[in-house]
Amino acid sequence: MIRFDKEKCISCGKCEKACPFGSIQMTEHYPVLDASCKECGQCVKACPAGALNVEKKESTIDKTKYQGFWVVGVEREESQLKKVTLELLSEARRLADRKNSTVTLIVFGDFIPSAWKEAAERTGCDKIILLAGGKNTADMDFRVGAVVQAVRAEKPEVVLFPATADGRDLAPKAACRLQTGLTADCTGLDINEEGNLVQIRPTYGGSIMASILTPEHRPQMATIRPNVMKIKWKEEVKPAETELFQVKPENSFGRVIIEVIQEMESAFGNLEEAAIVIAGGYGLKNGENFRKMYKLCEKLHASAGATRKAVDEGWAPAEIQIGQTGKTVAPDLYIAFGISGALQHTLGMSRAKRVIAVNNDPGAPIFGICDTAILGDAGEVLSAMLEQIEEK
Amino acid sequence: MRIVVCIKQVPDTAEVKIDPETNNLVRQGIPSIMNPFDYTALAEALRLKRENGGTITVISMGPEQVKKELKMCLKMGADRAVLLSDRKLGGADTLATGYALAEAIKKIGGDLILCGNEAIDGCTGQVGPMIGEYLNIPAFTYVTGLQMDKNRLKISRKTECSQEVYTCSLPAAACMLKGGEELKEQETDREIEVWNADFLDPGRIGSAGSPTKVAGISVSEREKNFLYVDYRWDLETRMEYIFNGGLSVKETKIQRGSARTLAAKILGEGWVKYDQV
Amino acid sequence: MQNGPLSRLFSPIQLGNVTLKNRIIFLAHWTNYGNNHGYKEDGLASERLAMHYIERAKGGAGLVCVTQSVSPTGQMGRTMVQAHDERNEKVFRYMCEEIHKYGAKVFGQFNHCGHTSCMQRPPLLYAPTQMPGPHCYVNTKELEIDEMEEIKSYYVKAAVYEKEWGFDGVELKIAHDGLLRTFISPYLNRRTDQYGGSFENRMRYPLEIIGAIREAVGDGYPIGVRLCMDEFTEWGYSWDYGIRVAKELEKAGVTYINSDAGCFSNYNFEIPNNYIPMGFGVYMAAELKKAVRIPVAAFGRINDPVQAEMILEEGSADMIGMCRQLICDPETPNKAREGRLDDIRHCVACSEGCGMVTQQEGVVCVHNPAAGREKRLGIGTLEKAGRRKKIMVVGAGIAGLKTAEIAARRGHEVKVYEKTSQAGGQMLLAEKIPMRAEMGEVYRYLRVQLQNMGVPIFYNCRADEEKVRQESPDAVVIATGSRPVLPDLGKDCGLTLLDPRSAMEHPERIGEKVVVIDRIGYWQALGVADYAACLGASVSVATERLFAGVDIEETCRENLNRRLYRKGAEFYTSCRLKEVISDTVVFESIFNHKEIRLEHVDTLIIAQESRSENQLYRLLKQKGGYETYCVGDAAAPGTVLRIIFEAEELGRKL
Repeated sequence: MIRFDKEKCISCGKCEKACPFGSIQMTEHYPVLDASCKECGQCVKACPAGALNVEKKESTIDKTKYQGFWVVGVEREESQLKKVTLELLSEARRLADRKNSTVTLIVFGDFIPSAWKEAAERTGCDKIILLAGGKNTADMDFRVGAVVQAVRAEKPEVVLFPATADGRDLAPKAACRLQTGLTADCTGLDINEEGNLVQIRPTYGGSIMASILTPEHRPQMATIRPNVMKIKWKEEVKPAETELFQVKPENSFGRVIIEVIQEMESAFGNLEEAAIVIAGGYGLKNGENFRKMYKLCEKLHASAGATRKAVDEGWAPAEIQIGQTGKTVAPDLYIAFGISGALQHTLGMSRAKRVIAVNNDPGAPIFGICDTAILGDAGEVLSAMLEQIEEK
Repeated sequence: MRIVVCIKQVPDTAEVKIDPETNNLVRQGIPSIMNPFDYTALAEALRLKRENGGTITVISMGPEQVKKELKMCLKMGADRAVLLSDRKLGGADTLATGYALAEAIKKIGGDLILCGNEAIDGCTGQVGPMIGEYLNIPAFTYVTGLQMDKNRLKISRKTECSQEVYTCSLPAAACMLKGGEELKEQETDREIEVWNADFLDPGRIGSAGSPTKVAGISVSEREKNFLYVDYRWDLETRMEYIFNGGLSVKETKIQRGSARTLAAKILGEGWVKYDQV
Repeated sequence: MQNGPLSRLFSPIQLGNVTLKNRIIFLAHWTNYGNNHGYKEDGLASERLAMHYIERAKGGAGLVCVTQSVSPTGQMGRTMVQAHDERNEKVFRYMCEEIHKYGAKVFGQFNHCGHTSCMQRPPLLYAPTQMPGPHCYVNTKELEIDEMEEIKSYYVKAAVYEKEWGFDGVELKIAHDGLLRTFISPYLNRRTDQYGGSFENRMRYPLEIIGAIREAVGDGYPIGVRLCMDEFTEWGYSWDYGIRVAKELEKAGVTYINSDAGCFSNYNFEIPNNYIPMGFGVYMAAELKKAVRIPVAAFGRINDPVQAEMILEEGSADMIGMCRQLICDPETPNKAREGRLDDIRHCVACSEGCGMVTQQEGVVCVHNPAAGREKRLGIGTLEKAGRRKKIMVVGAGIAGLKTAEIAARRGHEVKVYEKTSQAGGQMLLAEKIPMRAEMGEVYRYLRVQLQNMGVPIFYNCRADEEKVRQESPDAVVIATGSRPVLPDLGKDCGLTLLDPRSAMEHPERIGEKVVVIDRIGYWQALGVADYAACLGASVSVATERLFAGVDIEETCRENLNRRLYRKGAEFYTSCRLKEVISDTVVFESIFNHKEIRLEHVDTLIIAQESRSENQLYRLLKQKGGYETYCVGDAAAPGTVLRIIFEAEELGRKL
């Protein structure tokens, strides 16, 4: 609440000018704040007479009881932890170090594959809590109930979720049950002087960045987009403590029946998350070559991408289109088959760390921006690669 | 079947302007539209009503101006429209908004609650699932389609890595992904009901009921999805930049050979696994 | 249409008191369709001109801008229609009425050419300060104040007339060509009176003209400006200056700004060809949007409705200016609105057809034969055939594909036979030339059209006389193309001799030191040279002419030269091939017979004329029994421009 003290007001109107949201109108010499006021406090800062103040609420909870930074993994049956989970663990580690605190990974189920555990430990994760119980740990209602029970029992100060479809389903439900604050799609996190989590996110279509706090509620919850935080591996790896948390059955479990969960062809896995992207363009010439490319993706654990022309020809689904009117990717390795490298496409992959391009036009623009330039028929080179992999 | 559709009026985000002098949001004269995702939710509701019978109530929380969108919904076929409007509701974050709408829906009564998966201004996608929680009903996000199968609701959902189908019994809530439908409008004399916040707990609405607070804002440089040429560069640089599509040109030698040798070359490269930093 | 795809592109916008039904603007351009009947009988509007603009309105554009000259001293060419000439009233009234029937609006774009004339031997040219070009050597006259007043009054006269005749608004050209930009340009305007010497002074003249027009037409009538944001020259201004000018124009009450760039000294950004990326100019519109509150239009190789929608969605512009795209496919807006995106024929930015503006033909388009010929070939002129014939088309190069397309549209039963496994013919090689990948659109569009119409293309099928007899068609169209020809260089030739097609089909045969002889003046020579240079070869280009690529469109030729020179290519002009001894190629100057010896050459590519492959045609014609036609390279080797037109004519004749 912003309190206005009429006695102190000198009618200078600086508050109206300072409001970034246009929520203040000087009416008959005094400011009137309308419903759109976001309590950001800019008017308070701008008022030379101290006529505007933020009304501080009494703290209702003992924040010191809440310790630890949690990352909730939304994996199902993957053989590896998702890249975004590792990104969040790295970020949680960075924040936890600022407060001399711990990082915990939340996993649904009663066991954790060793590959997951190793990867988590390499980011500096201190503890792993397995939320066990329920017939089907992929069940969303189960997951919400499990997270809420665990949070109430263990009292973490911060809980981070990936801003994937499942994360954005799970987090608000948990936040609502816990009656705490949740900030969506954060692109940055920080700890302020008071030790609170600062959650930074774009609003209004991206033209404004807002810094959000959850000052009087715990835990502070946030969802973070993939490819925003950086994975950071620790040099010294310590084993993580593993704890099994038995989730008590609740009425809400089993309300929903899962009929089908069909994971998309691994080649069509989450493009924006992939470490290796293999993309095809018009130079692959036909759908058959694209099918071969998808097979190559599976063998190399890569995600498939395509140019707009390939999608228009019907050789690839629109979801994997990379470019100005499609998706933007920033993988560690990008292999372009039969892609000329027109700007419409390269705008979508220019941040790839390493690019290998296969094309039979020596003047293709992509050769000017790649690290390895292969002159050849994309389809033939692709087939040869598959052959050689199968031979091994 | 009683369907309740929650809609939100949003600024046409491409039109949101920042005053170049003050770096503040220019609120005047920005056109408002109905959140496109909510539009799809209404279309889905109309379709379900056609197939299964029932009524559609559209509800929105906001100021007077929202009546424009509610009127449009009535013209597009909704049976009833409710505007929840009160100064005390202002400054609400998603938790407080979810509470207010859920309480209103309890008063209206609904078997199926629909809304858009997210609003194009806030883009949180949180209010829908929270309404589900407040009403203690299953809520589904990223929904592409709904069907009534005898008395069960069948939900199709699409995530970035899977296609899913669920069933559950009503009541339930669904948050729709954007579709491409166009709805026709017909004149109607149905009126919009305006409710105030008297029936709501004052500690749970508006900014009082919002655990999250905006601490500060800044203008961000939007990720430019086009070539950007700096006016300070000399002519040569500007031209080359455009010719090269804005990318730094590397002098990479083109490698030639048979398909086999070239394939071997690629496979022989040190793969950068995401293990390494 | 709130939720549909492309909803922003087809949403209305208000410009002054005019509402445009969508955001697509057909940008003004000189067509050379006006009439020139001699001294003081020139600059007359013609039916051909009117139909060109009406066609774009018919195709769905929201706004059509018609370029015109003001003042008899301001014509870029003798056919540039004079806006202030009452004799144009009848044609213009007709044109505006017709355009309005399609729900489109029409603005007149006024320009005084200043020093940018398109005539090779121009009349007296005017400028704020006397100096040549700098794009040409012709020097100018420094405008006197009474002359400036006279020009201003012509602007006003034109505005008043056109408002009466039905134009909905005025667009002032302060753009890549024309007098007004030379006034605002600090380099070109060195005046010492009140019209030069400071930013305010330089703006004075254009602002006076705007003020005078505003007084004459009243408030509400839109006055927009086509504004050059960046001159793209060493001496010229960059876009920060353009923003400054735009802000002044906004203060003066200008209704909208239509962004533009470049000038006659740098065509690349004025009429960007395929070497410039699509949508390269969007950043200028985006910066304008940050600086002014009036509507802004984006320009610069925007040929795709999906990209246009994205530009609007991101808030980079309020309107999209398309010029060549609508010349190439006037129905782009209608097709986009109906969701028929793959039916749109995309501009390939070759600038060759529209580059003909200075020639007799006027603006044409290499793969839209109806451009400039709207009366006979435009929308709605294709008549169904009287009798449905069975037609065999032999060859799926662009000649065959185009003829098949038109014939099929007219209701004939068409089958196409192609001996290789792909359609496209020589265009498959043309698109391999570096940065020319878009040329593939020419055949791809046709192939898609045939697919949609259910016209079969039989690949790997060599049609011979036997096949024709089997099929027993009513008509046979032979589009079997041509074969390359190479001279015999004798036994001493110790290097690889290639024709351009083989070179590009078999790049492994191209070595390290390549000599390209240009005996064709077209893309086959310089294009192959660029290709070889990209492969890493060291390239020399030789020609008997004064420069290589004499028939290549000039802005492309300039870019080819730039690319080749950057890669270290050497040019030998005005010299003919004397002999090849082992791996030494010897040229001699045609003027003084001086010898040039190039040693250790491993590859010699000679680009010269091809020979038509039309044995089947001659055989069938001789034997009689079917209607037999020959089209494309099979008749005579030629360019896309000629062949597409020929194929269209043939398709309509069948």
